Amino acid sequence: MINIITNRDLEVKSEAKGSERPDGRAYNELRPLKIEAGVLERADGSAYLEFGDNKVLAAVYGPREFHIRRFLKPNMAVLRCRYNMAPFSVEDRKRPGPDRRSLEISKLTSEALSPAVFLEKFPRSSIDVFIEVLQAEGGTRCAGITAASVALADAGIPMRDMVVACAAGKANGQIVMDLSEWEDKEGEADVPVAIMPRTGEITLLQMDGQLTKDEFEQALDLAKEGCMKISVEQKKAIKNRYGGD
Amino acid sequence: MKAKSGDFVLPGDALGVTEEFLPSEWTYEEEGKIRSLVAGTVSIDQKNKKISIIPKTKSPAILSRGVVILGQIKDVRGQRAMVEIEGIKDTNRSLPISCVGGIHISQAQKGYVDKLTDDFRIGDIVEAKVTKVLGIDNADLTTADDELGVLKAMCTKCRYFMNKIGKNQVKCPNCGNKETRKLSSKYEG
Repeated sequence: MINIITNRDLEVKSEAKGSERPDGRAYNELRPLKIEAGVLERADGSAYLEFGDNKVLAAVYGPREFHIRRFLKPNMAVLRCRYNMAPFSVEDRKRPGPDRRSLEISKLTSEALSPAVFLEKFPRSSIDVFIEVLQAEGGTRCAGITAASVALADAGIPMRDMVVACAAGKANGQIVMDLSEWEDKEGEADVPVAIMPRTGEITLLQMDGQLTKDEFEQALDLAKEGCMKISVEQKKAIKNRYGGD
Repeated sequence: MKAKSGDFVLPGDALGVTEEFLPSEWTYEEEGKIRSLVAGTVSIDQKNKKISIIPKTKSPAILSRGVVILGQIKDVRGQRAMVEIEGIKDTNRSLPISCVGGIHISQAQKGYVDKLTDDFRIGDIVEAKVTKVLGIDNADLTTADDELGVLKAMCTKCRYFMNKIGKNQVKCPNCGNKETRKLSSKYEG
C-alpha cells in the first residue's frame, strides 16, 4: 500500500504535541469565519461562507410555484433543501449525486430552517434552498445551515430569526467547540446543534458517538455558545450587504 | 430596544410594543412585541401610530393593489376578459402561485366599450394594474390608462403578431387582417 503524506497530515502531527487540539485552537475557539451575502446574481437570495477550510455556497429561490401536487400544502409553503457536495470537495473524489448522507442532511437542513420562516405567508408555494459544498473540512452541515439562513434573509423571505448552527464534541478526551475534520473522524463524539439565537430554541440536535450525560450537557452549552458567536457574523454579513451602519 | 425611524433592523428584531404602535408592513406581533420580518429600515407613522419596515433586500413578488402586472389573455367573455398573470412588472421574482385576473368591460378603457372583443383577444399580451386582490390567486385588473393595455396582439386568423396602424388599430403583416384593440402606449408591434 502506498501512503501519500499531504501537508495536512504533517501539520496535524507536528502541532498535536504543542497544543491540546490538533490545529492549536483553545477548547472554545471557532475556526476563522467569513460570510458574504448576495453573491449570486440570478438567485433570489444567496450567501457564501468560509469556515476554516469549509467553503459553502447557498442559494435560495422562491417563494415560487410548486408543481409536485402530492407534496403541496394548501395552507403553507414547503421549504425544500438540497445539500450537495462537489466531487472535488473532499480529499478522495466523492461520487457525484445524492447519496444516503446528503439526503439526510438535506432533510434535516429543511427541518432546521422551517421553524424560523413564515411559511404560512405563502400557501401552495415552495421555497427552494440549494447548498453546495465546494470544500469540506468537518462541520459542513452546520456551515450549510448557517449559510442558508443568510441566503434566506438575503432573499427577503419573512423570518422570525436567522437560524445558526455550530457543532461541539469530544476529541482527545476533551469537550471542544467546532470540531475540525480530524477531530470529527478521530474524536469520540460529535454534537451538531442549530438554534434560533434570539429565543435559544433548538431546531437541530444530533449526536454521533458516545458521551456521558454531563459531557453531553457541556457539549450542548459549548455548541450554543459557538452559535451565538457565529450569529454575530451572520448579522454582520447582511448589514454589510445592505448598508446598515 | 425601541427602534427609531431609519434604523437598520434584521429579521426578528424588536421594534416596539403593541400598546404603542400598530404592526404594519413587514412586521409581526409576538407576545406583545412588534418585530421585523425582514432586513430593512424602520419607518414610523406617528400620525396613524403605525410601524413598518422598508425592506432593503429584494422582496418576494406579492400581488397587491396598485401593482402593474404582465399577463396573457386566456378568455374573453361578455363582461370580462380573463388574464393569466405571468409576473409583476420590474421584478424578476416569479409569483408564489399561478394567479388569474379579470378585466371588467367597464375597466378596459376610459370611454364606452360596446364589445369586449374589440379590446382584447385570446393570446394578447397585456399590461394591467391591480385594483383589487380577491383571495390569494385572483385579482381585478384595469387597463384604463395610456400606458396600460395590449403590448402585443395576435391576429385571430393566422396568429401572427400584428403591427400598430393607428389609435387602437392593428394590422396583420401576414394576411392583412385589420382588428381593434385597447393598445398600450408602449405597444411593440
